[in-house]
Amino acid sequence: MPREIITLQAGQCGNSVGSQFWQQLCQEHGISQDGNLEDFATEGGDRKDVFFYQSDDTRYIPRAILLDFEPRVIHGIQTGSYKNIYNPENFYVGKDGVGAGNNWAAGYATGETVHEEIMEMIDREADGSDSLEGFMLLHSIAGGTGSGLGSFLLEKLNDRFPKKLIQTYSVFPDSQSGGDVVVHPYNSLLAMRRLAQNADAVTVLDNGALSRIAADRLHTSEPSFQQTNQLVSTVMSASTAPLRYPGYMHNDLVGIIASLIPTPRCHFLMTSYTPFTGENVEQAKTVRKTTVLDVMRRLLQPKNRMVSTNPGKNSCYISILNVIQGEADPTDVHKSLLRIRERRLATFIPWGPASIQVALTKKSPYIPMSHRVSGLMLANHTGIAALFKRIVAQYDRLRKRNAFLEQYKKEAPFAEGLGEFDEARAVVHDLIAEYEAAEGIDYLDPDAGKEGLGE
Amino acid sequence: MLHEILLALSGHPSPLLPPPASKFDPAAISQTFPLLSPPERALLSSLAWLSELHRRVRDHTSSISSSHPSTICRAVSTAIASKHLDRFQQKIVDVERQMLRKDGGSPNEYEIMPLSLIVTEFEEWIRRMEWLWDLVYFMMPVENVVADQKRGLKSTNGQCSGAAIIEKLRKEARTGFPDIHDAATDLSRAAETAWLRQLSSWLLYGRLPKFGGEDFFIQEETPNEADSKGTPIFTISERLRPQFVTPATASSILFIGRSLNHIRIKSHSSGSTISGNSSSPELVLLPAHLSYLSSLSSPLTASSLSRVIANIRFSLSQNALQHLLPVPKTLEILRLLREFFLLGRGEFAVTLITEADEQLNSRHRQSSRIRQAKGGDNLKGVLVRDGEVNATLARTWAALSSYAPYDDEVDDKLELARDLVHLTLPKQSPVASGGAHRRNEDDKASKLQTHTRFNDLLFSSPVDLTLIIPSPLDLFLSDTDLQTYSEINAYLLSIRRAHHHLTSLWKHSTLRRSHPQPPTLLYSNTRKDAEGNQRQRQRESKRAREMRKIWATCSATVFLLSEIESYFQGEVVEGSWEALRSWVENPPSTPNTAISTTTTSSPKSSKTPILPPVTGSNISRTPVPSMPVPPTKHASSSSSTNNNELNDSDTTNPHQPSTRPHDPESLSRAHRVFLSTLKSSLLLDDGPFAAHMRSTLAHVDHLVALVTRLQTVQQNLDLEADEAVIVDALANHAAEERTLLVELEGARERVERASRRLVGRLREYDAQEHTGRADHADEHIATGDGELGADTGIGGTVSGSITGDEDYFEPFAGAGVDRLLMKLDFGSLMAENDVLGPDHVGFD
Repeated sequence: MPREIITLQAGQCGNSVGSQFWQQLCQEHGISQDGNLEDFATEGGDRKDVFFYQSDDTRYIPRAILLDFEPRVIHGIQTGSYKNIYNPENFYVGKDGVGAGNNWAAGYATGETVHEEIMEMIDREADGSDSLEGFMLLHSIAGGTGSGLGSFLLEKLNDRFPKKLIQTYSVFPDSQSGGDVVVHPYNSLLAMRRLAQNADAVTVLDNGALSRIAADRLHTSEPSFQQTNQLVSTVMSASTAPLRYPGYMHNDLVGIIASLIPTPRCHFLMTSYTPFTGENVEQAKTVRKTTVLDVMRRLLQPKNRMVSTNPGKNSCYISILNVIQGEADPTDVHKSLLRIRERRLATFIPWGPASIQVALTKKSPYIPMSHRVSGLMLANHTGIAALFKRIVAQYDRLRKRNAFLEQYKKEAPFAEGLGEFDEARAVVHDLIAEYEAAEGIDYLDPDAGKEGLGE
Repeated sequence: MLHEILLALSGHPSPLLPPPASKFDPAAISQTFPLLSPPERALLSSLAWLSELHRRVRDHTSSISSSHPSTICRAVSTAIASKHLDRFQQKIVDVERQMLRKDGGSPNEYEIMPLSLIVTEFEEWIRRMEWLWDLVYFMMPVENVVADQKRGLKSTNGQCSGAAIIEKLRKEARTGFPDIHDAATDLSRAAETAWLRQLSSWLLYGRLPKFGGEDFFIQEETPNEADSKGTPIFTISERLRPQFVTPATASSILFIGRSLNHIRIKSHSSGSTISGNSSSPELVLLPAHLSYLSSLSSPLTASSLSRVIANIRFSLSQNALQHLLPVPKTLEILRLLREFFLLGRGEFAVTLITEADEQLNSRHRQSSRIRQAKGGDNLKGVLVRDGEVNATLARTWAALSSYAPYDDEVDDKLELARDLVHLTLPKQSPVASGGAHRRNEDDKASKLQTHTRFNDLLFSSPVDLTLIIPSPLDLFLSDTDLQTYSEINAYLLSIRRAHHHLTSLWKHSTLRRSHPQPPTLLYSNTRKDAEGNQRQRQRESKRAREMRKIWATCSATVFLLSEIESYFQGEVVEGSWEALRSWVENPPSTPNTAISTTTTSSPKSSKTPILPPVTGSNISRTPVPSMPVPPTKHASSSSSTNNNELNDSDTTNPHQPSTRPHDPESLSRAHRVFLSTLKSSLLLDDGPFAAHMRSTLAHVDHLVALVTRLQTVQQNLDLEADEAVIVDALANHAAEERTLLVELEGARERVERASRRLVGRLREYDAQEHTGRADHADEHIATGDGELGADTGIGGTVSGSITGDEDYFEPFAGAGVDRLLMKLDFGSLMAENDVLGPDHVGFD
């Protein structure tokens, strides 16, 4: 069963990450730059139809919709080396070529005005799949288009496609060093509401952590977006590997989500990936020993997490899914788990049977790798609440001064008031409370304790 | 007088010599011959005894030759009559000639043969005749020939079998008397020739001897039911098997004849398929096989016989059967079974589950409509009909073939499966027991231990996935095997189904997301809208908190099921299948290397990542117990075959390809071992585990249904509250929500309890496995053999025949449940260190 997934790429970040992702997927499946299967790609055993469909002339076409209000990145894709694989009908560029200007409200409002056109593309793609499993949204939440249009899309998808999963890969702003968008706390908070309410799973990719990791591995002080995006697309390709190289378990999106996200609210996932080497990211020199144990142990190290948080004392894992690619023997996995258990390298929530679940998947036979195994950890960790708290705190600081609100008030959502900010803040606050409650024993019996939810 | 004696000796009743009661009974003679002196009487009495014996033997042999059920006995008795008695007759004639010629070498001057001389002449015959009488009596013990003749000789009980006489003769040859030795050897030659004649008709044509067949050690069982499809069932009768036929040889012989039968039936029924290439394979091979057989000489030895049998079997499987059942064909069907019955092809399982659910739903809708129309609950509507089941499968095939451009090879398999695989409703319906079982499974679980069935979960009534065994493949696949496959399939499929249903809860967007979409932001700008927004948020929070437990249980169960599944699929099924596949694909190249293949099979198979040779935790349980053969036996059997390869290199083509495929018999044996190991490794044999699994799955079904129901109710509630839409004026949704929540809590607890018991049983099993590994292995082998015996009819010799074969298949030893347990316990054990009590930990 194909269980197709439609990918929506919104904004500059979403589209550049997306184009890297599709390039990687094409390479892994042996699809050439014009969409045809390479002659050497005869190994089989992979499932291309989750992310691609075949045109009448049997070219593989990504189930991707590329959306942006300013043309720069999309033009880059349309002139790039993989320009021919995309369905030309699936590009949407703003008519006037003016972006959302790092303004969530602008992105959202523009989305509303053009939503018929966009929804038509989505409907067309959805109708073209036999058993649509869900959507994957790639965006960043700091800017205007990815954040605002992304939010709008999430609301629409949620409404239009019940029973279809909505998963996002959301790049969070570097909340520690500020980043280049001053109003990112506003944008993030507003987008967070949609991520909390309208998505089934959100893979959080913290730009701060991404640049730290890139700088660490690549030995550069200022990693480019190109480089961090490469990290993101690596994570994406690894986390979709169980869908594309199906094994016995975790071979569909709902399987992955169900095993990672027990309660609906806590659906924000952290990732770690190891090892990043030359094949994944240019210039990485360090090639280390990669055994399953090494990989699994490194995945648990905080410095490899792609979310920069300082988890509290009580924070713990709700669930972990390790996607191990390459020559991994179940016995090695077993031994590694034993070791990790001995060393108590991971703490879990007190109210559920928690374990490190492992999905062993094949590696693409077409891309040579210097290391035997690589691993991706998808983790549901309560420590992620710290990141949300930081966003709320930064928002509060800006909001107290009513800074930069003018440009928001110009747009439709805020024309009559700033109530949306308060609602979004309340939702995020609830979310943080939910995560904190999940650390406690009485999470399942909340009425036994007293905790105020909402405001 | 002397002539009278001679006449008496040659078997005519004589008044002179009345039949003595025993060997020396001078009294009898004294009655008829009072004039004789005691020494004479004594001499005469021994002659009388001899003549009596002769008469008895002669009469008896003639009756044996005409009426004994065993042709071997008849042959022996005929040999006695025609050879030994003839010689005796000759002797009498000789003596008479001596007497008449008066040159009897008698030293006396009366030119008359003294009585004593005659007695001496015949003395050596007394022992021989007594021995013959013993033998004849052994063949057909009669208290009194005359009485027996009166009774008409129809009582067959107590008559010895061909095997027994052969044994007896062999033993008698070793008594030490040279004359008896000669006679015994002579007679056993006759017996063995007769036996070989029977054997050859079996070996060459696959026919049981028409006459005296009930004496042959291979017996045709009367086909009990119609399901045998006209294929006769042959079994080995232990009682009738001569000692020099070892159990292994016996089963080889059985196999040869059986395959010949298959070939014949096939060529009869399917006409052209086989006879297309060679007129009739068994006839082509006839001269070669005949020459093998004729190389056997009279004192049959176990080794020479088994060598010949091995050669015939080899040449048969090499030539005829290979055409009939080539390795690719075998693998093809095995792959098919693996993919569809053992769920190697995940899409099949999922599609079938989805289609079955669809079918049930549409039925449900229909039947509720019918019920409404008829106004009573119509149970007939609940039972699934054959047509519906088949329609479901047909839709599954259609869906499968519409998916994904697979390469041709895979599509072939799908096409084949479409032809062969069927869903059927079992004939004897265990519906009632299944239903009762569901209701109070706690009581029944213990009683129905081994009979926990899973086939009624997919549809509401039992449905089995079956396969039509295509014609040549029934050489190694039996219906019983398929039943096991169906059983395993139902088990795996129902676990998959529960898992699938549980995870599909994650797709209920209203439960997982804020769906329908909360009012858009524009509303929150006024106070009223903000309040409305807040109200909705609080409602969602409240629901989310109520549902936390449910979700926690669901996700715990998903976790449990998915770990069990991945253990079953990834380790057990895959491991076993890989072991079987590599065994089938890499047959022992020559008998010589058989040892090395069997002993190196574990490291070799460890090349596939699934098969760990020795794992960290598994050191204590190397796969030794599953190998019931002492290696010496291996060595001896294969060295003997090795010898014969050398000996018979002139008859067998020495340049034959070095790999020889497994013949169907060892294939089917290996396959059966594979199946029974698989079944027990999947813990389907473990009664309590299967019962707990069954109840867990049933409770999961219930829970899922309740959650789905709750979702609809809440949706209606929200519609009423938010949009003031009355969905159903008669329903009190608020009250229904409350009762549903209570029911849900109950269902949740039941699932929790059931899965805890499941894990508990797993733990017990693990402990048992650790302590009683050896016992268990024995027991397992015993049960496995029982199954084999039941359907092959090899009976008690199975273990012998498995072991005596160089083609021994060593099944996958299994990874051990402890791995699964470790994963299940992983989190809990770590949590133990925390302040938390163990009762908050999901499983324990």
